[in-house]
Amino acid sequence: MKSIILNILIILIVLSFKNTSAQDNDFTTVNITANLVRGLAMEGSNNLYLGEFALRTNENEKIISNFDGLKFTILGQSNRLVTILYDQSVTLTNMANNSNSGRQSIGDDIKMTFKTNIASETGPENGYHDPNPLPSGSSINLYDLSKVGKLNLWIGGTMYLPVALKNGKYIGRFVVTSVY
Amino acid sequence: MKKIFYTFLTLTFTVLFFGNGNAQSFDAKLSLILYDSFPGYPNSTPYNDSYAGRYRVTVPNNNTNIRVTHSIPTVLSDGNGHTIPFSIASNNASYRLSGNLNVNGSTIFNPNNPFVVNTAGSNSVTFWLGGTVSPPTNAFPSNDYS
Repeated sequence: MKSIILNILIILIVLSFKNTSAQDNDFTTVNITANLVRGLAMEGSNNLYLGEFALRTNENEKIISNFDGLKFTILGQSNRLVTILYDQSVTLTNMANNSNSGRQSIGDDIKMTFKTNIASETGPENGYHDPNPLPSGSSINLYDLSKVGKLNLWIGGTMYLPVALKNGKYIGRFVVTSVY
Repeated sequence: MKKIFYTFLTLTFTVLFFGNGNAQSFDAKLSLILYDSFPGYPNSTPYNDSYAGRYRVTVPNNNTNIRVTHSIPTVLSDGNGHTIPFSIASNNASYRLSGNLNVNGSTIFNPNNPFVVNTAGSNSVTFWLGGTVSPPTNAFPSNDYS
């Protein structure tokens, strides 16, 4: 009988310890990681001057090489893939033909078309060495230049001059977009 | 001698089967990833995003109260002296009773404050954590913030 009482007592003591230690602390960790990407920037001239064209009695065209065209540089995150999108055709309208308003008249006869292309070159060089054609929509890695990614682009193309073209100053807008 | 033996036996069984039963374990962990942030632009990962952080707590018994406290860093560091602010919005965390790892149907809570959740008919609770980095415009670009 004494043994049974003793055993019950032991069980109660242990259970009471269980109740007093019913709280348990522990911890875990969840890693947090972030990558901070250098924003894209474009450097270079905003104006591509194509020179003077002679008006002719028949349609003609003039090729502007990438070397003679406009250069600009894209800066961003090193070794990061960037996609280049650009207008493949730019319409230039005559700004000087209307002397009263200084704005262009409406009419197809005073527009010319510039079919564009871009050559790209990665690497540490800034000059025009051996660039490759870069069709719109292409993706290319930015060259690692001391923690800054770099890509040089040269815009060239072909200017198509219709027969009825009038003399004057022709202006158009060419948009290049770079996207990570 | 026999009594001592029986007493020892009783004590052993009692400890084995009625000992401290609240030991908890953690599993199903996922890192919280803030992908492609840019200087000057806050970037958030929602708690229900595939890049959200996650962990699951399992306790031996159902109907257990679990008091949860999160130690949330205020900055992430790239290890080279650069930091960017970090925070978790009051509605960018959730939990779900049971061991179910599907975030859909989870309950939003504020991870910035301690809170108690009862496991009810389960012995597991899964937590999801989102987060936000707010890099200033002059923040240093790096892939190594943590």
